Amino acid sequence: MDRPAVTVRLFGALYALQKERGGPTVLEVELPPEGVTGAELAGMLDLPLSMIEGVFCNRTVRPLGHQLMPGDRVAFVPEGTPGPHRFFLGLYAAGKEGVETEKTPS
Amino acid sequence: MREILRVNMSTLTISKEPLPEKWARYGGRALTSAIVFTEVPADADPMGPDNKLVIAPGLLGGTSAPNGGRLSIGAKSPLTGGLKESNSGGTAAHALGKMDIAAIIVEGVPADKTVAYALRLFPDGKVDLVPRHDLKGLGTYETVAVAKGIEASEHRYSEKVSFIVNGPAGEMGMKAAGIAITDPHGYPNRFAGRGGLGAVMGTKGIKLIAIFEEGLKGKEHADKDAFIAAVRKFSGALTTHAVTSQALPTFGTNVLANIINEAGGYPTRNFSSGQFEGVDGISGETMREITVERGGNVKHGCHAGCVIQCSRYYVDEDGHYITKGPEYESAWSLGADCGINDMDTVAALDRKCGDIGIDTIEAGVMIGVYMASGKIAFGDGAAAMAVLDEIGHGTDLGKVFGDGAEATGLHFGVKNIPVVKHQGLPAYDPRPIQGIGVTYATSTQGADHTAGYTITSNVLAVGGTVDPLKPEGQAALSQGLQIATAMLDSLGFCIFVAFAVLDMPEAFEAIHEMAAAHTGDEWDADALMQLGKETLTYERLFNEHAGFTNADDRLPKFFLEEPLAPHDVVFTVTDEELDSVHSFVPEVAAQLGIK
Ligand code: SF4
Repeated sequence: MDRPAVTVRLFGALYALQKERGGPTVLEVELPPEGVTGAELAGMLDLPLSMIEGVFCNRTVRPLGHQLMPGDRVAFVPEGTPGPHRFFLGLYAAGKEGVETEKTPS
Repeated sequence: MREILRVNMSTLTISKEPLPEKWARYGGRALTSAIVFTEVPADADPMGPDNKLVIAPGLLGGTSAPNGGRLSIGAKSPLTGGLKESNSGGTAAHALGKMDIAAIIVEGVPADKTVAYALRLFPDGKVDLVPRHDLKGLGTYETVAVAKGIEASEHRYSEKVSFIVNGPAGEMGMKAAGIAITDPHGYPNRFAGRGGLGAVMGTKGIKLIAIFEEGLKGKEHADKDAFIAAVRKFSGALTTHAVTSQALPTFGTNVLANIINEAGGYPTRNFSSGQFEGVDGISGETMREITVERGGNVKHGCHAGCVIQCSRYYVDEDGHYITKGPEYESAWSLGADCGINDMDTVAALDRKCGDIGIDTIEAGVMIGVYMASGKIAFGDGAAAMAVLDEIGHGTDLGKVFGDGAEATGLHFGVKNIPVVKHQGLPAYDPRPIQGIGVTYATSTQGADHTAGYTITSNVLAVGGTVDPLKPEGQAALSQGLQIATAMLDSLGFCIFVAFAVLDMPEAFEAIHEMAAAHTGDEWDADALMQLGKETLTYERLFNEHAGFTNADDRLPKFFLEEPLAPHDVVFTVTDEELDSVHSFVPEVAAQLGIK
């Protein structure tokens, strides 16, 4: 497999949480070939779902139920993005969908 | 009874008059825009005697409404040529509100163009205008330091004073000049930055407005108990919502840097890319780490009664104050847009902008444009500082820079100049975040909605479905948000309360409950949205009278033609959709009896 991992970035409160734990805020995480959902990846990293509003997959905001595939660029966004961007970027919608959404291919 | 304080700089006279009944429900932006619309001819020379500088606290200024102490400053803009309202924090708004001053109108121009005056308002209602030639040409920080010292020896009120200060850029009439307002610690680090209002203040010969607050009491309410109950409700919402209780107080507005960069909408090197490889160096997360490590203050309000407290101080390695922790827009403009990835450099540029009194957004966009000309390199912080020095010294080149991004771009033959209506675009590229593009292009407009809750639920409904890369739904979303913004600006609320207001019905209710309990008038959701629409109507009509047409509601061509990496998209919202956002204006104008 030429793209076995995802690169994961953590922002805002998630960045602070990771720093408190003494961990890196940009991580390489190996995924199974079929990928995992955003919620599953958050679980693998021990990130509380209650703190997460959405997940960027390849620079587009997705809900936590979105399927992340090896090779994707991923970033977790905590609750609390200020500005109209929460709406303009789709974070608000992603947060409302949460993990209930159907798995969607990357 | 709120009053208007009228200061005529041609005759050097001061008078007070009751606020006209027709504007009894207005404060802040609604009032500055209504006054400019009514009293300033649309074809007036912005730098001439017919333009007026209008300064107004919000309708709830002077009360304990949480986050309700913002200040509006309005005039015909020398930068855009249209009606401008620039909004700022700082302590002045509450002080004016407590004095029952609905607005200060500064009109005329002094015969002697070399003068510098201080306008002083005292707690006993006395107001005077005194020559202060000693302050002429001083930076904003030095102005405050000198003025404080002298006033301290003259007045027993000196300990509690708010200053509204013009910097040298404004005194020299530069079109990117802003007006500084002091914060609770007396630093002139809050800014009514956009639109060149410092240049208007400069033409009036006023260097400083000093508002002495000692002994001023909070405002009375028509129904005190109901007001307190609504304040509690509002405060409860702000202190539980994730944006207003966690992200902003912890990281400030610059928490957006990583997020907008990740979305590919972080304009980099004069809007030539949507991602900045050096974002880590200037992000909100990094700024907090540096500030905490150096022992700086990382959480305070810009005025009493702010419960969100997004402000912070950026300090040097020895822990000495340099500037307010740069806001997202400032860190972006002086950072990514110039290819600068170092927080200390950004903070030094931010301080310099504050001291000479120039808008940080316009300054950064201007320097980015200058860098695009090839005269200096992207990423060169020292060269960027030299540009600001030219402005401060008022050299011939400095006067070009001080007139902003467009003037600089035209002077140096730059192809891509990111401006709309002659003003630099702020920190979001409109190609991958199309809704922002609609707001940029159309600026003062509104939606054809009739009810307040319809507006907010529409915003949320649309916000739930828009794709940031596609045009569908963006106009409606932008409209709703702009109406809500104009309403909040008019009541005197910090725009950051909007995040809780849009999410939590009780926060929205609390706003009209506070307005009703304070004024004794009827306020409800519809009335709030009507206030926003009326505000936008004054602004839109003034601009039409000043010669603006739909053709001015457009983004520069390169946003429509040159795809932006990494999404490789262009702005695709149609002209028809952009034009549709003004459809409500004739109806509201008819209701107001204006044309
Ligand atoms: S949230 Fe920030 S900008 Fe708003 S009132 Fe408080 S300190 Fe000022």
